[in-house]
Amino acid sequence: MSTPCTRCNIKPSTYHREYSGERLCPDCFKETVLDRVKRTINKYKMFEWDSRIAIGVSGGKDSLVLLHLLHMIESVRPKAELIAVCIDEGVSGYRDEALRLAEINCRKLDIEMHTLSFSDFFHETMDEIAVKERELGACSYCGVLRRRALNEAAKQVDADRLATGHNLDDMAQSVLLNILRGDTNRIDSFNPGGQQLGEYVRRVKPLCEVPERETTYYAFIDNMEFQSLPCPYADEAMRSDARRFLNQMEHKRPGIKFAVYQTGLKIRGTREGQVMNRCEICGAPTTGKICRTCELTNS
Amino acid sequence: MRIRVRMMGVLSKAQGNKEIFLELPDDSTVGTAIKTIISRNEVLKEVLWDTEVDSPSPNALIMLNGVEIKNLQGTDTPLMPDQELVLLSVVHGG
Repeated sequence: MSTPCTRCNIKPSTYHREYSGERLCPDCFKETVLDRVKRTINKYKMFEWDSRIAIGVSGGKDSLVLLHLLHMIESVRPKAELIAVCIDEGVSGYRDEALRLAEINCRKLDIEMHTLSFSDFFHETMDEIAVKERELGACSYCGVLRRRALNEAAKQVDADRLATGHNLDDMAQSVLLNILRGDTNRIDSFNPGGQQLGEYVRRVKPLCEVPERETTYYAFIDNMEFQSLPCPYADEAMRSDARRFLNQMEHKRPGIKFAVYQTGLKIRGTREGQVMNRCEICGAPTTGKICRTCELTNS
Repeated sequence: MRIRVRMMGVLSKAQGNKEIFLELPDDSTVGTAIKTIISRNEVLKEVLWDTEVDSPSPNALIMLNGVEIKNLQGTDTPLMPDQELVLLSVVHGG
């Protein structure tokens, strides 16, 4: 028998938050996650009262939890609009299941869903890219192209914000990876609240302070269906190392992921207002002469 | 005793079944059940168990009758007949 919830003191607790010492029942757990996401949105001024928000939905647990939370949060703002944008990278089998899950959830919440495929936008699928001779791992290509495709999909639906399901673990891993790679540009631009860069739709990360264990547990107690197939091209060796290291540290010293994330916020620069270059090929904002998408698609 | 084990997400694919039933000795714990499962399947072992510290991987979310085992006595939590263990990978399918 578990101890009573430390928040409501009535129902039995089902989840122990080691970093805060809380023991929560399912209702209080969900309320505290919702409250944290609301606070994050306010802290970074992510949305306006009448924002048209594109939600990047992959069909995975994080993006589905984000879809459900934003539906709850924005439903009290009659002028705010939500629309799900999904990217079909063209990975046979894997993405079919994910898109089906995205569709089920969008229908349940009565949220319109817009899909953009790699084959339509880049004239190539991930399956085709994966069999080519290439310098980088498949994840590196997919990540860059997906980011561009999400922006394009958000533009196509006239959104002024693009919300993605990046969680605290993703953020802490990125801080660590950027330091390990010495990528000062990315360290400088670390910003969960995003910023307006040319015609890029402002990207925001409302789950940036919710640990991945908690998005998973939220999806579990909300009876969401989980993806059963891992991506066949998952090969992010360095990110996996960072994830393993942070998980082991978190196990020994609960709260370390929050500390790494906060460090990222403290050491970043302030790029707001800085003039970016335009990609010489596609015109997208970039820090160099050619944007990463064009570098990869033309290599 | 007999318990039900439900695998969710990528674990169900690795196991080949969404649920299995385990026959275990009467004094079994959550740890006994997990070790029985991973002894039969290398993929599940990789996802569920951290061999360096000989405990469940931080990437695994393990629930006994809906309660996360860290909210109980972890892998030392005693099992009762007909209880349900749910295993879930935190990482895949994000």
